[in-house]
Amino acid sequence: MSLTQTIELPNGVKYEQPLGLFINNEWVAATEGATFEVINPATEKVICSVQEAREVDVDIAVKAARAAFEGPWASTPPSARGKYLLKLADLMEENLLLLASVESLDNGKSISLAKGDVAMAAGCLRYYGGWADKVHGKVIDTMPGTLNYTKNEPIGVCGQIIPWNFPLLMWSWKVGPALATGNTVVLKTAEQTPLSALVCANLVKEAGFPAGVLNIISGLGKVAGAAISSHMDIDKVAFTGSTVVGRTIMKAAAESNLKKVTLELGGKSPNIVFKDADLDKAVEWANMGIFFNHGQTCCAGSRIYVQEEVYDTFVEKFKARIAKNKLGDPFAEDTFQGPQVSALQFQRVMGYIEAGKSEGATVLTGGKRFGETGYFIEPTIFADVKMDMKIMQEEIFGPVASIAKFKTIDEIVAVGNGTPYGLAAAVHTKDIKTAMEVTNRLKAGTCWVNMYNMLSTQLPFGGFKESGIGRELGKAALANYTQVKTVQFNLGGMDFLVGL
Amino acid sequence: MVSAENIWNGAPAGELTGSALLHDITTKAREHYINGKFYNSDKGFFPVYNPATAQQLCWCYNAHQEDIELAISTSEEAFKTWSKTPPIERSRILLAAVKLIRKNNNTLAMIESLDTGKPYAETSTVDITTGADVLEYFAGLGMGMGEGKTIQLRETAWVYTRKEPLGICVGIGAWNYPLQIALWKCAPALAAGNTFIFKPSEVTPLSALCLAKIFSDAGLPPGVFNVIQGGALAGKLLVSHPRVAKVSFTGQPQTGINVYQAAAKTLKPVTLELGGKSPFIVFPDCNLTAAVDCCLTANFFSSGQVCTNGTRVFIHKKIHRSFSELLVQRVEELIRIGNPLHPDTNFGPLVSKQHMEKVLEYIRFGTLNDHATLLYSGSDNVSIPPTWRNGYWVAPTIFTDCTDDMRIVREEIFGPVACLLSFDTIEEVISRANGTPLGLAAGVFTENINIANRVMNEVKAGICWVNTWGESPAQMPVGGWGLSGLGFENGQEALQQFTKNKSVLMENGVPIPAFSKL
Repeated sequence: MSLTQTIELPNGVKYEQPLGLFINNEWVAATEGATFEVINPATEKVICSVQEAREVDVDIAVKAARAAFEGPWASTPPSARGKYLLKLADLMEENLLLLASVESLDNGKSISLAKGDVAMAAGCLRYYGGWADKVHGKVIDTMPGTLNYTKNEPIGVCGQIIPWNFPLLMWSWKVGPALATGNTVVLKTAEQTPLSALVCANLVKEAGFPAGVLNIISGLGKVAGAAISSHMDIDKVAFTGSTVVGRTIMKAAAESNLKKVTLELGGKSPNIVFKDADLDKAVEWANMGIFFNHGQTCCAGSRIYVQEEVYDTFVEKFKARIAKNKLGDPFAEDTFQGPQVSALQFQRVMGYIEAGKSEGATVLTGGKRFGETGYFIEPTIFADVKMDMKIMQEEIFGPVASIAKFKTIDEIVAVGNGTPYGLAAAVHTKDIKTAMEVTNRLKAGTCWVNMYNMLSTQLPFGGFKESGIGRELGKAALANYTQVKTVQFNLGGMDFLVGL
Repeated sequence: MVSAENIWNGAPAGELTGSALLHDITTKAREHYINGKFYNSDKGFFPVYNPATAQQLCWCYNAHQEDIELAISTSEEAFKTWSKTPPIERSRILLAAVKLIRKNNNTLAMIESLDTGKPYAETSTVDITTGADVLEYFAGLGMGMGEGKTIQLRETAWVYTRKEPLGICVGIGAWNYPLQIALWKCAPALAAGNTFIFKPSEVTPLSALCLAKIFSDAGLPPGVFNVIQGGALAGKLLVSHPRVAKVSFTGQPQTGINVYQAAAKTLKPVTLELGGKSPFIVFPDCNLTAAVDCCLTANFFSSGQVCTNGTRVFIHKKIHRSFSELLVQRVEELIRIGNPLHPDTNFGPLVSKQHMEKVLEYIRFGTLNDHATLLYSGSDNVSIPPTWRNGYWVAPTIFTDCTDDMRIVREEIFGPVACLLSFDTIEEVISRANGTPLGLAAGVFTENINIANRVMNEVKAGICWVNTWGESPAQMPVGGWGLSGLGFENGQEALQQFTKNKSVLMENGVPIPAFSKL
């Protein structure tokens, strides 16, 4: 049984797709011989089958990661860790078209979007490569005759579970800070999108990382993901995905060995347009806010609120703008919106659309499937919504927005904060005071002013409330993967305390 | 001293292999590098010599006022764009330059060895790599890590700070580590968004030009890194120019003071890396072999032309004899004077005739006036072939029975001259170690935690080593105390020395009026 398969992509790129588990810098088959299918969401056809890691394989990967953590990775100087990451970033850029094409095939996002993802992923690795030898402790003077200092040490073997919406980008957000700070990793990709990480695994080896430092496995959340969350020799778990699964992981972490937990979960983020906003720009950003990546973005601006004076104008402009979004083949250069990632996701989103209709909201545009093949859904807007509707409280994770009016700042702040989530928010206004007051009062981890959905590797990202625990990106992510050791030397200065 | 077979072989320039960087250095006059290309205004030259043979290598154009004005105006123009280039993009270019520097390590090392006389064994393993390491460090750091802060004052008002680049930064280099110094200075400056004008020492002008070309090849926009060749006059013009925002200087303390005074006239911030007379302190419980080998490093590496050298060797009286004997033995076993380009040579000439005469004068004074005992004189043991005899050779020299008041013990010689002293108690040696207005480096050799920490806590020096000597990685800030310097280089905080702070207080409510009606 082969652990690779030749795949020819719609744009002519032909390559060897690895199918195995990447453990200890080697490709291995799953111990129980299990595999699962990978589906192309634009065609609904099977691309290939990859090896499925089960509990026993997770265990093998953890052993490899542990040996590397106590061995070669521990004796690798921090600056050398950084150099490996820089090299890997270079290799990803050299293979940009290949990686982007695999991403488009597996996830369904447009090739132009995928290229942006890969470039940003390489940039993220390069950023954390720069941090590797700059994770400083401190020297803190308490009294003469002592030397006191702190060290920021790696946590150990880290389990990382990533989602399917930005496969390679999410991979880089996890791998970058974990490896830069000296940890080793067992990373499970999403079962919907395992392919691009497997292609990257060969680059990891080429970049020179010692065996066992980064292990990449494909598997099901309920099996391999659960095994990671409850493994007794994993010191930390990082997860990006839905809030409901995040809860499960946190419980498993608590019930096993109290491993450290960071979570990037869902959102139901408000996108707020004041009457003094530049409406044409606000419309453009609103479109980006909800329909970017087919609505499959944790921080999507899925609740659009427009101040009543400009509501009608905004809605007309917005409908016209949406009509220009091109749906279609991910490999066409001008495609904006591809299919949803899987049949299950398609059904869930369609289910929410039906719920919206049955709860009495009005469909302004969209509300149905697009085309006959592939999990395409028309960009959809609901109006006449009430805060207690399912489509207003629950994350849909598809190209479905609701739009409503508001009058005052006090009202919109209350409504904006009126869900259990708190991942992001945006304000469109020309007034400094409005921008400052609203962003100060909104309970959201990222607040945008006059833009939406733009992230930078240098800026921390994460949720308030049920949108998550901890921050990724920026210097902040380093704290997720380090623990402080305080060392106190008595050089004679403390002896008097015991009567010496 | 040992002599490897044929260590004098090869004509002085004979080892050079063809390379795009080398550029006919023995036949064409060396120029400035301004706005992305080589440049000269044909207004005068100075000669450049090969220290190993005293033969002239080439000519170098000398900068006049107009050349400097051109360097400044192009630097200023380039700043407008470079300072606004996203930090990640700047980092990408600097990292590309790091790759090119490492790729050309050996060629650059050869040029450096020809120009400084330092052994290729040194330049190919230390000079270029430590320069590239620092550029790589700051390229990694410059990715948006020069951070400002936000400070909430009250509900309606807050402060945020911006760290903005300074503008045109000038680096004045020294002749002992020409390329390394150029890189250690320009790395944080460029990463932070400044533009940079480098003036190498007129004694060693060659490698900076290679660096400028590498930067251009890496994609650094024209004008961001300019090189001006010249001596004291060019330096003075740059340092006092009103449109230069900051000066970073490496050299002697007195010149450093002059630079500081000139910069003060226009209130420019200044970084100074000056000289030292650093104490090398050895306790009886040390690892003797390691301590002796480090003493060789601390006194004879680069023929003693290193600012941080531990030239006052304080040996505890209990081990004074065994240390001294082992030191002489190791010098004889390990040091090999020869053609600097020969791979087995690990000890070269001094950099110039003037410097050689200065060092020889100190040795004479030490013997005839200070009356120190000449424990070892390498010149007794080396025979230099005729082709090389005119070179600026000074062999390793060790004085013993030294006392603190001797001139050779108080003043920086900057040559291969070690002064051995004896001490009894820890209090005494700390006091004597600190008995100098300089304060660059210090080192202690002991296996005892308490002794090590006590010496390190009390010694007045900015760069300290325990049970080793000389290692200066990019992550470690280095700067002298007292007359040894101002500010520091390397380490994360060095980036801040190339930015200036702007505090912005924003009021979102109604400002409290200063004047109101009754």
